[in-house]
Amino acid sequence: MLTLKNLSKRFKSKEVLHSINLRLDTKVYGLLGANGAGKTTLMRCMAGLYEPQQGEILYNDEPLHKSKSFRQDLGYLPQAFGMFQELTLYEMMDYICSLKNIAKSKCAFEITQALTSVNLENKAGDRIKTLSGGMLRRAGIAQAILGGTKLILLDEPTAGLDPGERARFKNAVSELKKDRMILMSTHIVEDIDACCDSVIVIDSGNVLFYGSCEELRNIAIDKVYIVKSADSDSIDGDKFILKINELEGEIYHRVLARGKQDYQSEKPTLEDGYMCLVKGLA
Amino acid sequence: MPGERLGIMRRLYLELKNQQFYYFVPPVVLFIVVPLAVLAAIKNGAGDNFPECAFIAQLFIPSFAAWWPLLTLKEYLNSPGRELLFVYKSGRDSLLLKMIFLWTLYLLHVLIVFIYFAYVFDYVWFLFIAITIQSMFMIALGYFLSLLFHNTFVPLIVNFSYTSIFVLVLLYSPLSIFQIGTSFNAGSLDKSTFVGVIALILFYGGYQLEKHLYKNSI
Amino acid sequence: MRKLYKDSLLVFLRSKNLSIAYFILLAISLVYFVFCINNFLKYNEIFSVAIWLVRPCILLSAFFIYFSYELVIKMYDHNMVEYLKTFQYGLLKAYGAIILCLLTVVLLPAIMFSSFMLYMYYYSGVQYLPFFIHLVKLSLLYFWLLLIVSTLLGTAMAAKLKTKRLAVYSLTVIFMLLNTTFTDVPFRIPYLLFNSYRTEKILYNIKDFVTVVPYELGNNFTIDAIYGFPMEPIRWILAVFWVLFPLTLILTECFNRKTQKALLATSGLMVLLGVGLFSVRGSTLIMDMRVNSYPFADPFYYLDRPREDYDGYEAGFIVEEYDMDLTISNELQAEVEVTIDNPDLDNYEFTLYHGYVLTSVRTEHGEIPFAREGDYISIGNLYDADIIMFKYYGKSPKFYANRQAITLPGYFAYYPQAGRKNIWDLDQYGYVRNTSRNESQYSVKIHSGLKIFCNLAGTDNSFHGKSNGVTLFAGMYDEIDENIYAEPMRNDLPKREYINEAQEILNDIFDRLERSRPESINLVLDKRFFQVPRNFGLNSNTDNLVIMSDHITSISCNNGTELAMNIMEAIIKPKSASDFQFRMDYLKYLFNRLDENEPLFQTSVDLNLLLKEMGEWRSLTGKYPDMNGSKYKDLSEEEREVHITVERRMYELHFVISEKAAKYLFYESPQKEDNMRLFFDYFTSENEQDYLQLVERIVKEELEHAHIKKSEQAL
Repeated sequence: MLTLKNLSKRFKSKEVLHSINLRLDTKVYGLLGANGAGKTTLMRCMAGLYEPQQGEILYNDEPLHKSKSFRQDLGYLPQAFGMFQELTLYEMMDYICSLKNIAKSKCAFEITQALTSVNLENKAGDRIKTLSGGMLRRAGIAQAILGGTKLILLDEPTAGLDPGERARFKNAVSELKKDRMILMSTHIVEDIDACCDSVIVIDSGNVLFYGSCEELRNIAIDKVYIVKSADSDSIDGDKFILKINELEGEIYHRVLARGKQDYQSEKPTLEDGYMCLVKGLA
Repeated sequence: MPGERLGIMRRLYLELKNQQFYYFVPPVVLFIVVPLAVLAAIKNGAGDNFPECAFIAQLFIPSFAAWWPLLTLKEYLNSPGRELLFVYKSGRDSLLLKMIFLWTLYLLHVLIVFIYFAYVFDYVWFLFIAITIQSMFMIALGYFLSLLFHNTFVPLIVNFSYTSIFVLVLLYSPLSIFQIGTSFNAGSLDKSTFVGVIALILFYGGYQLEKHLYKNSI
Repeated sequence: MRKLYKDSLLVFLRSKNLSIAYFILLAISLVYFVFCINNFLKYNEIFSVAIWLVRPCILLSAFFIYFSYELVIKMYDHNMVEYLKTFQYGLLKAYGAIILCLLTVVLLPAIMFSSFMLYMYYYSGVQYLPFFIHLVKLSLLYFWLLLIVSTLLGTAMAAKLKTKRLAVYSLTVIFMLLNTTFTDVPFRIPYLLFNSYRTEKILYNIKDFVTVVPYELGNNFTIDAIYGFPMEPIRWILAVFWVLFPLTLILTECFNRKTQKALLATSGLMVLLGVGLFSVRGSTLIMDMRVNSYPFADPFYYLDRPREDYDGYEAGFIVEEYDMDLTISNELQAEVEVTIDNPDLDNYEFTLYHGYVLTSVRTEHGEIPFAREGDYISIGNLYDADIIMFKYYGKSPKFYANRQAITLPGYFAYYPQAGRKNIWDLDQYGYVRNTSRNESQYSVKIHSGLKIFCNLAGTDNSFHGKSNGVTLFAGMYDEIDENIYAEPMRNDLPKREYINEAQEILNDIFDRLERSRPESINLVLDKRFFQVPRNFGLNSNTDNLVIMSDHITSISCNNGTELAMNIMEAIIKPKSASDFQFRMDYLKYLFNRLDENEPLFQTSVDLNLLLKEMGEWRSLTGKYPDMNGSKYKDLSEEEREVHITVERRMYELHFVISEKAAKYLFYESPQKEDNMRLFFDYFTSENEQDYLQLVERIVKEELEHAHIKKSEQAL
């Protein structure tokens, strides 16, 4: 569906994306990376908002700017999202329908369907300014899926959502993912674990990993150990303390180590795999 | 208390610093435009040209009095980060207090200009008092309208519109706070007293709106 | 698109800070209209009311900048732009919808203003089509286009400056102030303090470029009915510029980088084009405080020039014939062929107003060298050629000639005139009425879109005939009666019966004075009568009424007596700047325009006191003979007080002396008729004696005569 070939993007003298090659299909992808890794820049390039200095992005094997169907198929939720405060949710969705050239006869159905997908059908008549932060975010997702979009880009979709709303969001993604390519960028590894089929890890503009969640997890096999804090120093080689816990008065460190250690290794999580990559302990 | 006051001053200083080069608009007007304009008027006339000086002073000084206050209020009413400003607000650190401080700061600048005027003309101090009160009125009007409309753009337009109308066109209108004439003496301060009272009413009204703002802040 | 537009309207109406402000503004505008309507019904002065109506235009404009900025900035404040850009022409459509919404909002006030204008026209019952067209154009340019420009400016500021509110505020305030007379005070500084006319000119040029209103707030100059509100081509060009330029800036936000660059280049080109066209705008009517404005240009110009008196200058030749081909578009372009009677001189001097740039002087032999110095042209030997062709172009700030109106009176040197003549009289503070004794044969062809009225016979802007000057008027000007030309929109139009009455009165006056009528006022009835704009009297004491060989120009003509007085005033020459009051009093008594209820008439004039006051005045004038600004500054505080006191006393005395002297000589004196004749001869002669000396002599003689008579009676 979407192919990135040798994509590079620079802002003045700073190169933000370095020769990125990816091929994305009808799956749910998680884009994982630290702040400043280049996630938003990558998403904006994919949304056609930025022109890359090098490389190209193809949608169904056609360059983005030439593809007639790209804009029609795209749904985008930016990191900072807002709507006209004075309109009702329904009116705002209708506004988006106009922008997306959705036929008038289909608007009502599309809006209802989109709002139902994100559990906002009861809020259709409410003014935007009365919606909570989480509801606004869901409204953003709703507008992204209006018109039967095939390609959905969500930049930090769960930012500001409470646990309940995050659970609802995950359910929504599960319902949406059929025949769609969904790419969501996030810091929250649990969301990726719950929703995504594949993970892309990006760091300093480079793709460090592209594969399934299981594969990412497996990177940290035999690398994760839980030791007492006093024993932490005895771990050989490069290491990184993932977490510090206290249990029954004793401090424990969850440590990521490059080489095999004499301790019992733990089953790695997705976060462990990610940290392994970014800390260069893979 | 002194510590709090110092805090207010420190915050006010930072708010003024936040205005960057826009901060310098009133000083440029006061220290460059007004004195040069008065000098030009003197050179153009046969000699003493106090009425012209009074006209120039009333045209520029009160209208730019509201500049700093409105630009400061903008942060509280229009900026995306205003939530944070209201979170830490203490009861004494009110916007009204800031308006008074800024008025005082402005008057210190005006005082310097009038020290220069005192060398050129006689009896400038009645004019100074009149301008002090006119400046207070303009700040009060800006403060009140900003809190009424939750916007500082409208008060800015109203401020300059008011000066343009009542100094350039309707000189003798009863709605004008300005005094166009040749003499400034104790008698001419009658109007200033009335203007001062209106200014206080506007400040009071603005303060009531400000308290309401806190209750339903963002 | 309709949906987006409707939603944008909804957003506007539901935003309290916008809709409430808008409706309050409409309410205030309505109240203001009622005020203007009231004034109109009271005074029926359509231009004065129209001035009041357009005065607050800039304030309206500022508010529309506010509405448009605040509406558009919502997209940025609520982070909508990013995802709008992902839709096909998403941001463009959003902007388009908002602009359409704002244009809808503009409709109401624009319709209100236009309706009021049309109502005034129909109510006034004037029935003058050019004026109706003028009002329509006024509505279009200064209400509709102005408000559209304002909305686009606000939108463009939101598009380019986004949330940089301080920049938006500053630009709006600057824009507002540049469209009022607020700027007159600082803009005078370069010239008054540093003598930098150039800097003042640059500042005012910048101001003119962004002036979008027809009449600045704070401007107190009146509008001439012949010209109306300024609507020269440059105004329309600037309006179009201020629509297209912000629009281009808005579009740069809506397209990708390639198109953005093209659009930026387009806006750059637009700026260049706009500035270029602005720089060649030609003649425009400037009524404000700048140095090169209608009221001040010539007084300032001549103040700085060396004083040269060319009264009585003998040119050595006369111009027998003029063949003039004038093109009046943005300014005057002329090709004037002059046939002289004496081709044998070594040197020829001509007078042509300094505002006209002479490009070439030719004879049948080809181009000849010339020297241009101020208002004068010097040409050397013509080698027996008797026809000289002058080619020139330019403008006068007062006697304008452009696409909107033409006011070129025949006593003004807008074409080369024989010899050196003063154009401006510093003492009289006015234009010299250059009414040549000799008549020339004229053939004048004018290329202009306006219908021109001339003292010579002709049609379709082609005229020919014999006269001592060619007067051209065009604009909102018409022949209101046979051989009477005026601005139809004025409420003090001249009438044929006034002219008849004036002729009769003058005949009676000259019979009473036992003097023959000057040739110039013989057959006043037969002369064409041109009522000139009121502003002719704004910066000149001498344009009130001018008598040419075949026509008369006059500022006012309210009745026959006033006209006759003005004609007489034109005949009796001023001897100095100080005799103005006395001359006016003389005319008052000559025409019996007295108000015997005035305090002056309650007691007789004490001649001894009068002589004493004259002596005092004479001694006071001797105290500060050469006082000027720099000398005044060197005086101490006390000395200044004394000087002010002396000046005040001199002013009072002068007024009192003139009044009393006139009253005695022409009202109380037993010789009053003789005195009338005496002073008529004095004013119409070349006698250089000061009038007060003559007054003093007569008073002393009469006192002595009275004393002798008293003594004889006593005996």
